[in-house]
Amino acid sequence: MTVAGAEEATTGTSTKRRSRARWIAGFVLVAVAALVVVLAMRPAADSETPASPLVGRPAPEVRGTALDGRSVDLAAMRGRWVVVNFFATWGVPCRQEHPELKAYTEAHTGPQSPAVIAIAYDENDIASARSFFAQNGGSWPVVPDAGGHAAVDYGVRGLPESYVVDPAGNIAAHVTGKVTAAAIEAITGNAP
Amino acid sequence: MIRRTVWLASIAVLVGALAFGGWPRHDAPRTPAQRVEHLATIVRCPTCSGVSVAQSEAPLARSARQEMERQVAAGRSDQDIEDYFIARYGDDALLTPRRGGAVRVAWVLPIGVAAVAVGVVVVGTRRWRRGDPGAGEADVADVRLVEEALEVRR
Repeated sequence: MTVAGAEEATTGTSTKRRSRARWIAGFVLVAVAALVVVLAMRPAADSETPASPLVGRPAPEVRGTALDGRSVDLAAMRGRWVVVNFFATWGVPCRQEHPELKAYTEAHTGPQSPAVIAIAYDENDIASARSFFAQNGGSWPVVPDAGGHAAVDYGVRGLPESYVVDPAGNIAAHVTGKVTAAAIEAITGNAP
Repeated sequence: MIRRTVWLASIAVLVGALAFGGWPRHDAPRTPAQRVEHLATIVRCPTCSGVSVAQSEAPLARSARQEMERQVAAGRSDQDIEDYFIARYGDDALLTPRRGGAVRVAWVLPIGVAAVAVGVVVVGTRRWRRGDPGAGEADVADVRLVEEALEVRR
């Protein structure tokens, strides 16, 4: 073998090895990058207040007879902002938000004004809800949630929770915990 | 040759088993009660952390279970009911993520990388044990040394 031949053979072998190493390194790099992207795009499983996937979508049906005998049908309230509020009187934040909802409804009394529908989640709490409203005021309808169907249909995770439904019937916002009149006004665009 | 076949068969079995594990299965239980039980074990309790509807006595978990019973009685499929909960509670509505899309990639990708790594180690080890075929050949320095020696003798 001549020097030139040996050089060529050695160079050829090392070039082949380098090329193979580059391919493997490239494959591993792409695989790891793809895995990182996939994992990074997944939402955290235990985030404290995950955004409701229903925001921006049509609000699930709310229909029933309120505690005062009124018929309630969310679908019939198109053209108005509606706050669908899930509560139970045994929840401290639910009791704390009551004056806020009262102030909000008292500020909007026209026939096409924003409205509130309360959903009494706990069927065993109906008598308490009745006396709570008699004692603390509040003119908005309270609809009992038979079997918690409405709560599951709205993806409720805890009480209280409120869903602000826009005039087109879509959920514009989801508020977990105590809601305030100012927060609702900000969502509906009526903030001072 | 036999060892190579054994290695290839082992890798094929490994990849096949893991791919099977990452593939969606449709082994739905038969009776409505079994279906509800199955759904309750895979759907996350809406108000608890890390437990299923079946494991929780929380009021919202009971409501979720009643909703499953109602939908099973209405003739909806397990897939439809899972979709219902995902549409309301997001992708983490299920305790075990669905075996599809990104989740399947997350299953298969590390397996692929591991298979390639095993292959590289196996091939490298075999070559090392056999001895590098290039080791017995003369390299540039050897040839040059011989040529110089021959020049001196002339």
